[in-house]
Amino acid sequence: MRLKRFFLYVGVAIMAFYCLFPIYFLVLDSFEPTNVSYSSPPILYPVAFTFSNYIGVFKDIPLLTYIKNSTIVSLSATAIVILIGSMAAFAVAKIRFRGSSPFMNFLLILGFFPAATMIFPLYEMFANFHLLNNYLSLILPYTSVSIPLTVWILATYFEQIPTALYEAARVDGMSRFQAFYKIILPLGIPAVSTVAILNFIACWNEFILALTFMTKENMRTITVGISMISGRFSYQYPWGEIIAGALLVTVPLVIIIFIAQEKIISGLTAGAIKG
Amino acid sequence: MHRLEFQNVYKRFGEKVIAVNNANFFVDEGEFVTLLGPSGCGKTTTLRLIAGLERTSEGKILINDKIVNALSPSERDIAMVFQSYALYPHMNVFENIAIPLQVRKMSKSDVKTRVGSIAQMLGISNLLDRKPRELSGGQRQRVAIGRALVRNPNLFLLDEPLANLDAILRHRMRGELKALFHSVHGTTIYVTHDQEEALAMSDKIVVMNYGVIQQIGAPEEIYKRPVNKFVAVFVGNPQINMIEVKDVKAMSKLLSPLKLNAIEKLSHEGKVEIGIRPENIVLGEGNVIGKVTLIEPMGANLLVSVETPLDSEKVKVKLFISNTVKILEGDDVKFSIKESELLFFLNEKRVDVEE
Repeated sequence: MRLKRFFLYVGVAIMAFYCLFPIYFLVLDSFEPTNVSYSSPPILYPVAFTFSNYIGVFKDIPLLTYIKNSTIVSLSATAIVILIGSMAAFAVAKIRFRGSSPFMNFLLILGFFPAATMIFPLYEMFANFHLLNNYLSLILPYTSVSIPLTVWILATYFEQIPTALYEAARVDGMSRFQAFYKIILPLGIPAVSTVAILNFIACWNEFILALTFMTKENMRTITVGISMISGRFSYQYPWGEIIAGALLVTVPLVIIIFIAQEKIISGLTAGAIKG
Repeated sequence: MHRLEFQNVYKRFGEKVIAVNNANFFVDEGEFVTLLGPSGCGKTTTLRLIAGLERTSEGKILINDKIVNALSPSERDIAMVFQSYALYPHMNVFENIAIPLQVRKMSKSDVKTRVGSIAQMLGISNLLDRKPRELSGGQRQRVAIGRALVRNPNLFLLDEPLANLDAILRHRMRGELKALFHSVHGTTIYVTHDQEEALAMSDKIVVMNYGVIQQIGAPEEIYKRPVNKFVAVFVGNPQINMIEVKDVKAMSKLLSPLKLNAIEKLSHEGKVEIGIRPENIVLGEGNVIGKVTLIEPMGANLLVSVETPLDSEKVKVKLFISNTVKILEGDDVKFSIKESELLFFLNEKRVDVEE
């Protein structure tokens, strides 16, 4: 038994090292002057310490503007996706209507289209509507790409909520919409918040559409913005600043998600799903 | 006035399944009516039709003499207790009971007093801030009943509310439920597959089988004058003894010559069966001889199975005797039957036999 345990720990340690070492190296590099981080062979332990990369990021690019843009786009898209997606999922799961299963299959087919194939038509369209460099040019496609999967996941979850609860709500005098937001939605919170987080991350990290539709400096999102950091001299790529920028926008996101997850788990155990 | 009426109601699922087949019945103000039948007989579908959770395929449903076919559940003003109780898991007991009032925009203070008095009536005042999962089965059931009682609906619908309780609680709740719904003058429709429950609680019983209403009547009528073999066998525990008449002469030990004559005539028309309730067989005296094959003690009484060579083959009947009687399996016994209580069936339909 002890030996088994020992091997388990060794295995876990190897996995943890494999996953965490790149992050450690990123953090290390972000605090090192360029000559150290460029040294070959690489130095894997701290030898020098500087904030210059972080200061450089704020000097070179409007980081706060990028963060603001990313936040507006990601939050809006996620909110719309959850609003529409949860109501559609509720309808599919709890209200029997003709054509609900063709509808679901249709959604699945929609989900197969790779977003990248839509770039050119969308570009044409947004250009004609004067929507380029407008938040809508990202919010609209992010929303439509995310809704099919969201509906699928939420409908599956809502189906597991006993139908008797919905029926009881209707008999108790609630309209369909009241039954949705007073009963089904609160009971679906674990799934809804998980889907919301995944959507938010996907929007936050999206690159191709953001690069194409947002051409003005002050409209860029964070992923595109960081990739645009360029060195003061040609042939010198400012890795330190790119890494510092990436960490600056990732770490807060990770912390927010950890807190949100904590909330979800505590909500789960306090609310109890079992009828 | 809280009345319900079914006029020629059909409910079909797809092409082949007829869950409710031409149902006609009414429930009067303040009545406690039970829909009784084996599982799959259409009783729960009937209840769901009343609630509006299912739409009729044909026919009319009237509440207070108004056709409600097109109304949604929330527009019918009915209260329902579900078999699973269907308590809202994310709300505490107070919120669960209060929600039908809140949805109807009752003022906060009124809701508080109303829920408070219902909780007191049901003895759950101390549980108001608990969540459903922190309650026992019996307590959950009370909350579900509270949620129904809290307003004054047209109808109360109860879908096997006792099915998930243990035997002792089930027996206690039977009496309590009946008293409760009578005390609020509720017009109540109760679904169960338990014939004992139906007999104990109802003003009127609607017996169903395969979607067809077999008989509507007071419990005593259903028990003593069942319209057909299905009702006779389904109602009553232990089951009624059914003896098929193959050779009329062999029945001479059981029946008087007059009855025998009548049966002789009947037997030309089809299959004749005689039904005898266990309590109508008297052990000890009489001209029928048999052998005791099984004794099942049931507390105050013993349920005794007796085999008798009535016919060309042996016939087995069950009967009650007091547990003070000394009797053993294998004993030879004599018994007689109360002829006035016999039921006669021709081709599974009960017939009155003229003497």
